[in-house]
Amino acid sequence: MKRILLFLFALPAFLACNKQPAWDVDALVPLVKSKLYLQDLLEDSLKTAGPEGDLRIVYESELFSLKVDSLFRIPDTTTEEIFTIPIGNIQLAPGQVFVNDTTTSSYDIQDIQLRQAIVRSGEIQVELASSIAEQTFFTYALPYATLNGVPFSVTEVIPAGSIMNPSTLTKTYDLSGYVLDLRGPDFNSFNSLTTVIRAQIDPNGNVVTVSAGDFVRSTNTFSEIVPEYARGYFGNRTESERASDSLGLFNNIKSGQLNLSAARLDLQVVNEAGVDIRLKINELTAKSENDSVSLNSSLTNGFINLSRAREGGSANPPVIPYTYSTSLNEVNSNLPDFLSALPDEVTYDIDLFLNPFGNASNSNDFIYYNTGLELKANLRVPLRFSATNLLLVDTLALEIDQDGKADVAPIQGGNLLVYTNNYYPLDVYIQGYLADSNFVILDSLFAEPQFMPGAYPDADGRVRTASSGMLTSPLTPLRIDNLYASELLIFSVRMSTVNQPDELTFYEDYFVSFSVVGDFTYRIEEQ
Amino acid sequence: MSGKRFFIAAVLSFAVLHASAQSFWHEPLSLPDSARYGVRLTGEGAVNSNALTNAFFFGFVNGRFVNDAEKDLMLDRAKAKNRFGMDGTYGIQADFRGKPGSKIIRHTVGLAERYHADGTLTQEAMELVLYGNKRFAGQEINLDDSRLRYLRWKEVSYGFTAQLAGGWQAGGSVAAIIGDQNLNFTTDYARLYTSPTGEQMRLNGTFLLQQSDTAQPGPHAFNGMGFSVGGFVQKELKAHDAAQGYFRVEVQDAGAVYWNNNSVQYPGDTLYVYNGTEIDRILDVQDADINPLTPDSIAELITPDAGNGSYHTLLPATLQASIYQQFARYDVQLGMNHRFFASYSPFFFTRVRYRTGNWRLGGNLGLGGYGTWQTGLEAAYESEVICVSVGTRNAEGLAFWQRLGGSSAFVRLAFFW
Repeated sequence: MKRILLFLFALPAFLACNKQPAWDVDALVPLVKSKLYLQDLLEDSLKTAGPEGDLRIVYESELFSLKVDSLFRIPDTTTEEIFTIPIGNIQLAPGQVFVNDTTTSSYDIQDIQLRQAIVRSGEIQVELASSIAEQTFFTYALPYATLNGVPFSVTEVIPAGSIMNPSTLTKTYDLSGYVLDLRGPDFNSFNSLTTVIRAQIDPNGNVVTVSAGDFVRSTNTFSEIVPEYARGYFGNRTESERASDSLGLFNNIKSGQLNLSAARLDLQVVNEAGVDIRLKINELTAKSENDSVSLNSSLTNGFINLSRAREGGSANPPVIPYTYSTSLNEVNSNLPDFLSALPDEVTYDIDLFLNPFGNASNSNDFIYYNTGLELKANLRVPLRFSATNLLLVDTLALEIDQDGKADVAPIQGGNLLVYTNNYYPLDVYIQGYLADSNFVILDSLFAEPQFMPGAYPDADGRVRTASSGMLTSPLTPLRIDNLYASELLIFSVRMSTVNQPDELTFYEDYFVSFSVVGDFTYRIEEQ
Repeated sequence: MSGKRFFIAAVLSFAVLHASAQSFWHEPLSLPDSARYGVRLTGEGAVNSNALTNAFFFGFVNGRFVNDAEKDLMLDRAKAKNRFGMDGTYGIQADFRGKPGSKIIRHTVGLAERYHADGTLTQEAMELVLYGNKRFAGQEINLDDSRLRYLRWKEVSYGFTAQLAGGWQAGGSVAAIIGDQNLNFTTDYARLYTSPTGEQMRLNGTFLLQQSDTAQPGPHAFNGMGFSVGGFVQKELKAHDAAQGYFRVEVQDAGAVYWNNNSVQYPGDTLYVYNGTEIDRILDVQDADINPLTPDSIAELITPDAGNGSYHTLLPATLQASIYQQFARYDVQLGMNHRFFASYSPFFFTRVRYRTGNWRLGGNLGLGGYGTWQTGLEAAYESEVICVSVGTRNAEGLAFWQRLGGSSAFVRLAFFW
């Protein structure tokens, strides 16, 4: 009886049982449908389409830039002037001027002869020392350095000192905006700056006796002088630049052979400096990991004379630059071969000859701050090529919502089927790798690289009928776990154009449409 | 049957549901002549199907895995239309005699919690459920006239029996109902198509999904109210002087539950085409509007008119006719019933019990209902103060659990004074 009662009252607990049977079903479910356009691999600024929809790569770059103002800096310069009492004891009355000296210094700025400069930034540090036993008024002036027409002049008071213990004073003054007339007091020199130093006993002080060995000393340091503008003769000299620039155009292509049918490179050299320059491009070489091709063209076989810029116009700075333009293509150069090397960097070796014809400007060369010489490249490559085993490797960041893992946990195994319709005339072998953030490979997407056949163009070179294919990716619980553990998806795509060795044009309306279908065994069970 | 299987079968019998509608819940309590009052505790449950087997139903008890061979056996049983049903009741019922001389000879009050589930599936729908859609690639799956319903409610009932002239008895009952949970899914015309490669699925059809307040899914949620009525007429029969018998016609559970305004309804009449999550340009996904499908978003797509609102559910009403005849050592009952609004086929049954001392040992045989055929065993101990009875109507389902689909058990314990 007791057991029966227990059973009856336990019945509600059994009825509340929330189990359900489990069984496997074979599901065939569409998961993703999308299209892949190869041009989406490129940034918008790197691609364009012609009137027929033919794709073109556009690459604009400042291949080389030399700011001429960096070629001649006014070096930090220190001058020192000491005025020493040579003999006996001398009485100096209050207000008496006992030093009044004008000195012109010449600065060594390589072989440059500057007549005028405007200071963009920089300073002068004045360090004064005095053994005079009375307070002294000390004036330091640069009569040919003016700001708004007013010469630079400062007067400082230096306390009384002694030979054993001279008084000192150090002050720093900003020279920004000062116009420096570097022609010297007779206006016929260059790189010269005149200074005036004047020392006076405090007019309200006492008579003071100075002895042999008493002195006043001025140490002046021009530092960090950056010219906003400079005029003069910049010399006749040669500057060489040899460097490499990353191209960033073929970074993802690791190997293979690419034959481009055409390419055009518009080069523009802009001289913003008021100095004649002769440019010689000794070498322009495309370099990749496996190949190196030097550009062969008129550009690399001679000089380019760049006339000086002129002052004037409404631009800021008021410079009318000189521009030299030239264009290279498959006819006048080996540019397609140059690009077919799939360069990841371009190495250049350039010589610049300043004032190749001497002081033709009669010392009126000029330069404004942040101007100089620019070599701009504008590359246009029609996507018409043949390719053999071109290996494209790219890495995509995976951001998989971990919450979805529970939804796929019941998958017992099967395949992801990727049905493709390929409008590109490219036979493709594709593989993908799942990797962690350190690029450690966790798994592959496919058991082996999958083949996607390319479409064949009609007689006019246009593809109108896609080629169908199917890629199979085995789906196992382990692979699903690896997918959720991955942070990177590394794609490896090996491509060859069909109709070898014909070069084929790629149009913007080509794409690969694909549908991902889940063909797997799914366990229906209590979640 | 191994010990483990027997255990599973026994637990199932205790756990769930009742199917054949030959419920004892409405059967009047037989008060001994010496007793004026009686109280009965009842627990009964059953599940049956003309296609699904106990290999499947046992999973509701232990979560067992149904293997391919078991699924094949179910598919072998499948017909054009396949039905299943589950019922469960546990409750307490008190009977007491009417005043002497009154026409009302019996009053009955009861309190019970009850469950019901039923469904109808086409053969292809069943195959889809058991095997998935892959085997239907390139074909349309017929899901017409499919139905799935689950109801859970509590009821408080009162009934009476009146003695009429000429050996006639009549009675009635009324019950107030608290609705706990409900899920209805019905299709009128519905076809699911999977393209040969699986790149596209199409659902075309007219269907309705109703569900009681999804925010209150608990077993004792108060999501609706309702009522039910029942009644019977009975004519005394006598095969001979020593025999007692009757012919009885009765109606049970004629009523409805009205679910509250928080209930949801998803009516659908659409052609829905699914190609997977569509991304215009896969390498330009930052600008793409990617909305992976979830069950909620699918429901929104295929049932744009979904909304909250009240609806009502008719209870699985039963109409039953039976003849009972008691002889000196045994009694026999023959009858048939039908349940309305419940995916049910007419059910014919017979029951024979042999009496020895205070014990009754019996067996029963049935055809139709949710299953095909069924046979059961029961035993009862009856005295002036207590009656205990246990049994099953699906001995065949327990014996051949991988091939047949019925499971049921009942336990009744009554006290008299």
